[in-house]
Amino acid sequence: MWLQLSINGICLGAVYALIAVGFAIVFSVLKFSNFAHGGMISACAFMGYFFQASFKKAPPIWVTILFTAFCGVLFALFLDQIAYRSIRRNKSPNIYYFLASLTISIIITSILNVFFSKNPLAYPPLFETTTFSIGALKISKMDTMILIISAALLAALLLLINKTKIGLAIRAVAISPETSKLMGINSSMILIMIFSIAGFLSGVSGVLLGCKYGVYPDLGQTMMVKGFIASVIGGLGSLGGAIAAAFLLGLLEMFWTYVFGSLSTPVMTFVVMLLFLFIRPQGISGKFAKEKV
Amino acid sequence: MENSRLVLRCNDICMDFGGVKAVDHFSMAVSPSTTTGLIGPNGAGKTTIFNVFSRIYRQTSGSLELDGVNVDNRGQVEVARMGLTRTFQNIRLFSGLSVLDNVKVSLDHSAGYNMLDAVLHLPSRQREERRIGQRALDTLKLLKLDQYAQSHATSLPYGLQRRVEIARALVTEPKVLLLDEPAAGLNPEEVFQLVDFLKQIRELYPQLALLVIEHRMDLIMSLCDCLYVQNFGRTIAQGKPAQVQCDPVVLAAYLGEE
Amino acid sequence: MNNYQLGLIMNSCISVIGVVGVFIITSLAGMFSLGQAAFMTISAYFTFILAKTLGLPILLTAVMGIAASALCAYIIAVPTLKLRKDYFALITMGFGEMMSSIVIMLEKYTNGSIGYSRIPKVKPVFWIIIGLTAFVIFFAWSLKRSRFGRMCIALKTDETAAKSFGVDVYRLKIRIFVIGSCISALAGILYGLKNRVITPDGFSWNLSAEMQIFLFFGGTNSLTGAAIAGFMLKLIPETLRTVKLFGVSLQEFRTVIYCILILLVINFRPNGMLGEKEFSIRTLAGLFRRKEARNGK
Repeated sequence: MWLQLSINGICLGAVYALIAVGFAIVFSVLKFSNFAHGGMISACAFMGYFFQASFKKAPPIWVTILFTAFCGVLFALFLDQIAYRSIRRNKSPNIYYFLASLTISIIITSILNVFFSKNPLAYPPLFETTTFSIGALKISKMDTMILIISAALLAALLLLINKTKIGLAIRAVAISPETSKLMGINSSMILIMIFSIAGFLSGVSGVLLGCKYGVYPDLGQTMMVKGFIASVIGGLGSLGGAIAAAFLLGLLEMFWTYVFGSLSTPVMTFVVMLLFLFIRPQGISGKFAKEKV
Repeated sequence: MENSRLVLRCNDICMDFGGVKAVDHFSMAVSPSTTTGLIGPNGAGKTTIFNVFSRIYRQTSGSLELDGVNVDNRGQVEVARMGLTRTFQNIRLFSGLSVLDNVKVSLDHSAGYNMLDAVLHLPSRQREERRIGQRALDTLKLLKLDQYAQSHATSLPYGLQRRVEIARALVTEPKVLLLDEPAAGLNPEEVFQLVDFLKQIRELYPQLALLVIEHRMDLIMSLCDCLYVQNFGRTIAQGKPAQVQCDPVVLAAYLGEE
Repeated sequence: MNNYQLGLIMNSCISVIGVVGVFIITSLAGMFSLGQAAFMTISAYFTFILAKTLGLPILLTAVMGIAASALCAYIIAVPTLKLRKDYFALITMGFGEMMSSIVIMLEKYTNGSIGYSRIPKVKPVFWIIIGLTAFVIFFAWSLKRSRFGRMCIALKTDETAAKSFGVDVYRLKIRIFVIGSCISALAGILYGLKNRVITPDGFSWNLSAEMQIFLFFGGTNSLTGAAIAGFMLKLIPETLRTVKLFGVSLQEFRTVIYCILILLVINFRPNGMLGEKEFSIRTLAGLFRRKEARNGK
């Protein structure tokens, strides 16, 4: 039983990790909490759904994912233009980023709510049988697919950040935008990169979450909170920390649900987050995002 | 022995930032009624020293005493209330407040009324508001800034903002005042006025110990009783201005090795 | 006025109280809270359930409800306000989500998502709401004009500088957050009194966000702006209920419209409609004088 729960927990953690990283990457470089990420995920889940529904015979899932991820990138860049650009230009205080990203998230959710709140939509089933078994273990095919896709994506992202020249530039801007500008790094290029990555991730997670939980307007909002909690526990702005915390959170939630039922899990996750802030505010990663003196 | 009492004293202060030694074994002793200058090239760790004094940073090692009390474990707020105030290199006035209110903020923590008094407009609020308002205005008058009391602090010209910042630091009648590059960003005319202004302060607040970071030698030479020359985190010379001025080590640091 | 119109005014006044609570936290002290609806939840459920089950007078349980909100605010504030502002925003948001699920979890007492409706009828509810709205505005105005308001504005613009002048930033922030949350809590109780039913959906995350949006629309530093925005932005969509767009009542679009307004404000008027201006006799007189001067020419 424990093994079964662990596997389910890891699969859940993979979902959380995908969300948490999309949030953390914007935070680590631009130093603001991108509340819009939840709205983006909802929007992408719908885009993917309608893309798929527009064909007589549903295209393979990877086509949908790629298409949605691409839409997500365009969408993220568009949002940057209408919401964040003038804040950067005016050098307004950080609180405006909160407000702008919040507004974006709400506007998406409420537009979706006006039109689609009546009947929840669902992607057509991907597999004929939902689970396969190894010995006594029953493993959901959907979860396995999600796990594989997010593991691959996260690995690719970590490689991009840690091993490539672009990644080096991103890390440099994250540490000090002024200095990197002096070193000849094109910061607006990096900005586009970051929003593209965040958009890409929200596209992928939108489709995957839509497959797993059904498509409804508040989907992203509900899931985003988990992503936030993971990135706070992991240490704000640290990608590695966010991923580790996401898996930890997934496991914890599975075991808790098994023992105490699912109703109290949101309370548990919140209390865990608060305890973390009491005892180890720097998070798992030990990296600590402080405000500049 | 009243005169030899030290108002600020630090021993072997070091400050590391991830392996970079910004301040390396810095020691200093400051008596009341003196003006001490801290000079040195960019990156010599002067502002870091000020930041340690005002407890924005905690030193990696070494000890710090303010008016005979060890403040190694005290925070920014506490040392401020103990009588150490400062100005910043890039002026940091509170932009949402008027000049008078900026000065009042310094006194606000000492105003004797609580939140209940505040929202119910009890007499204690009225009395205390009048008291700190008067005191702030007196300071502004003393420093000839009262005509700007109602202006928006950040809409004033740079030179005036600098003086308001100093007024804000002086209104509590501190024991130690740290001035971080007061002449930075001022034009020659404004620098001239600033020197006068600082000399005035010297007279108006005779007990005050003044610490100044500065690049401009003329300003330092005309104000300071004692100089510390920093380079790469170390003190390379200290003493009377005239003495330091012809120290070969100092000349080398400033003009480069020959 | 008929009952419907009275209801609209009461709703708008409750909205004003909510926005003033957020004003104290966000505009004065610069903390971006996304969980004020949670404090409304706590106090409302606390007040009405206690009043019903223990048979205590509602005035007493209301005080207890507000105290419970204050306690929760304190517990959240202590670890969070030492850290970067983002933590505060994220944690308050998480807190809001948690509160909704606690209401569902304690279905036995709260009646879950259907809503709790055993709320006694209080006769002069209209005048209570009007009176408390006036009081809350006066409260916030006094606070802003006092030493606490000055210190808050100082710490909002520059925390490090504020500390260097003896402002105990951490303690002040905690106190301000607790006070703002008490005002939100009050709004929650009044909401219950007026509507006679409270549901977790009524106090959702959207409500917290809506209050922030009203606040920034009215003016980031202006209490006058915040109060007017809180009143008008609540009232106008209600009166346009019958207007239709794409076959859907305009009421449904209200959040979308707010958001578009906010995006316009961010892009073109970053300090909100009123910026830092406050209503006072002096500004009014100033307006007159300007007019006269123009006429004189």
